[in-house]
Amino acid sequence: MLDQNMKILVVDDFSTMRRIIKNILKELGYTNVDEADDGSTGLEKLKGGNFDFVVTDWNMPNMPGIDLLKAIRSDGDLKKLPVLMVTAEAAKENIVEAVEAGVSNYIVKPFTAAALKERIDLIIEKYK
Amino acid sequence: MSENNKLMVTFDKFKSELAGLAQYVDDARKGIDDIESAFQMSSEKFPEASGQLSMVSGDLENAANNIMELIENLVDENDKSKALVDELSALAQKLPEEDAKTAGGLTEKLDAVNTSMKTIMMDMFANTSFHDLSGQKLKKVISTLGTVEAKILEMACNVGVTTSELAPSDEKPSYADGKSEMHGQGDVDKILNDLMQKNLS
Repeated sequence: MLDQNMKILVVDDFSTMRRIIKNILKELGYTNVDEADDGSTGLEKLKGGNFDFVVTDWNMPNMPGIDLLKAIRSDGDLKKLPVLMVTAEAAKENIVEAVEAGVSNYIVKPFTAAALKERIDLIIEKYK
Repeated sequence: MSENNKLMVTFDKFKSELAGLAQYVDDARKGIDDIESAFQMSSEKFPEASGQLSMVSGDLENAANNIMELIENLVDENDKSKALVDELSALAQKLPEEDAKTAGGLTEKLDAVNTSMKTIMMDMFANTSFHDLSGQKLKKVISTLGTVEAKILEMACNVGVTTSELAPSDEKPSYADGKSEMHGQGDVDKILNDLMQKNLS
C-alpha cells in the first residue's frame, strides 16, 4: 500500500538527519513514520513491523545501509519493500553497488524537500 | 669526515626533522583545541582524536538541533497563518461581489506567500544536514590525523626523540579563574573587560 498512509521507516545514525527526513516527510503528507539508528535495529523493526517503505543512510555503525538493503532483498517477507537510500556516498561505485543490491532510488546529501518528494513519487509510480 | 661520522650527522638531522614534525603536529592539535568551545586537552602528549571528534560533532549536533527547533517553530507559525488566510477567504465570500473579488485576490496572494515560505523552511530543514555531512568528514580527517600521529610517535620513539626535545609551546595567558579554557560568552566578556581595563589604566 504505497500512498500517503504508508508506514515508513527512516534509518540513520544521526538523530538530526532522522529529524530532517521525518519533518520533510510530514510536510509531504506522510505522517506514519518510525525511525531506527542503524541497520541492525532497522532490520529488527522491519521484521513484523508491517512497513511499506524504507529510507536509509549508507554509513552507519553495526550494520551499514548497503548491508541492510542486502538483508532486505534476501528476506522472503521483506524483499519487495521499496528502499530509498539517502547518503553522502556519491561515488559511482557506491551507486553501482546499491543498484546491484536492489535499491529503489538514491539521493545524495544534502538534498532538497523537492528532491525527496520526486524520488518517493518515482518509487510509488514504479510499484503501482 | 669518516663514513660513521657522516652517518651520525645525517641521523641527527633526521632526528631533528622528526622532532620538528612531531612538534608541528602537536601545535596543530593545540590549534584545534583552541577552537573547541568546552573542552581542553592536556597538551603535553598527543591528545585523543576521538575525544576531539565527539566534542566537535556534539557542538554541531547542538547547533543543528537548535536551528531545527527554530524552523519547526516557524513552520507552526506558518500553519497558523495558513489557517487564518483560509478563514479570511471564507469571510471574503460573504462580502458584496466586487469586494469579495478584491479580497479573494488578496487572500490568494497571501496563500501563495505562505506556500513559498513553507518551501523555503523545508529547504532550510534539509540544509541542516550540514551536521551529518560535517561529522562524516571530520571522522575521516581525524582518523587520518590519528594514523599520522601514531606513525610519527612510533618513528620518534624508535630514533630516540624524547619529550624534552620537543620545543615547549608558548604558554597562553590565563584569564578565567586561573584556567586557560573558555566556556562561553560569559568568559569572553570577562576577558574583554579585563583587557579593556588594563588598556585604560
